[in-house]
Amino acid sequence: MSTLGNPEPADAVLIAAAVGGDTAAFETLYRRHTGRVHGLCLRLTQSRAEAQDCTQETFIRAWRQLATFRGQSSLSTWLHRIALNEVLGRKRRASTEDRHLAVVRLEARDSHRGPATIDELERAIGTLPDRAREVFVLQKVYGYTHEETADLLNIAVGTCKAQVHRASRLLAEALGDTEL
Amino acid sequence: MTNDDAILSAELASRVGRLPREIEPPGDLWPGIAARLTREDTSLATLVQRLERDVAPDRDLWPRIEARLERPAGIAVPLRLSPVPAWFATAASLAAITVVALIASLMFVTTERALAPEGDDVAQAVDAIRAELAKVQGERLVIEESLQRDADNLSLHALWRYAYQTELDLAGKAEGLVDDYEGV
Repeated sequence: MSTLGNPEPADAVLIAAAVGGDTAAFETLYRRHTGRVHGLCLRLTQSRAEAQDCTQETFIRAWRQLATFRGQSSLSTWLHRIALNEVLGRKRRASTEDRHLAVVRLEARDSHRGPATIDELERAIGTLPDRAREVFVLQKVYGYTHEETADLLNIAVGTCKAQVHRASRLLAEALGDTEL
Repeated sequence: MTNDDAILSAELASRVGRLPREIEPPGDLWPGIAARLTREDTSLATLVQRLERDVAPDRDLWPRIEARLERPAGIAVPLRLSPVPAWFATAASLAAITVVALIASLMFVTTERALAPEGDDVAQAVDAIRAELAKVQGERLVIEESLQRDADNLSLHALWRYAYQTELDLAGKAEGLVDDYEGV
């Protein structure tokens, strides 16, 4: 594939090549989208190892299913959907983890002096209950609408709104947000 | 400003909005992914290419399969085996098309009918899935017959795996629908 004058081939071009079996094209797609996929996996699993596994599985599934991608959403959204299915599937299979929410929340508040740092913010988001965190991350970090989030998670829009409200309240509490 | 925005201070809401969307993995995951892709080599296009190369070199299967993917429909293609060598290319090609069409049909069933079925819709969706399951099972048996005559054919092995995985997926969908309906 010639890249002369077009160093960044569009996703659609790379997808067509990958569907034809071109793994180099798929590698380019991987390198273009892995940060966004891994970012979501890391925030939802709260585990580096799990996030890497989920990221890897996401791209392997994407390779298998690429011929069925019809471009009705962006590739990025499609990959997020696969990643979400992978993360949520693993959660269903795994036993529920006790996150000691109250303790962590208290520690976060006690250590808070002034505006929350990025690390504190990420940690506080990590302490949110699963569903609230999923909704909050998709909407507030990745910019999906209520409707898009509800569709991605296969939940009602009303549930989505309630969960993001809950997440915001918990986050404000955890960080001792002054305008609470 | 929405209600949940009002809960967070403007400063905190702004900080959340500025969190990085991309977080690169600590190591390069591509070598592991590439190894899996090479080992499994399960893309539809790769399977079709193998069939075109090894089994039916005079046929261009992909446009026909792609057309079926555009407008999914469960179409059972009758397979007639004969003792002459030509049977093999025809049978394997038609089996490939049928399996792919059934996979596409599965997607149609799950997206159009089974995502939010209620009452009678559940029964209809389950019946549709069971009908598809029977078709896929039939095609798998044909592929197994072909394998008995050409046990080393990698394309047929890959097709068999596809058919078997599709059977499992269909059975899982039917089971999930019944569980959901019965409130399990």
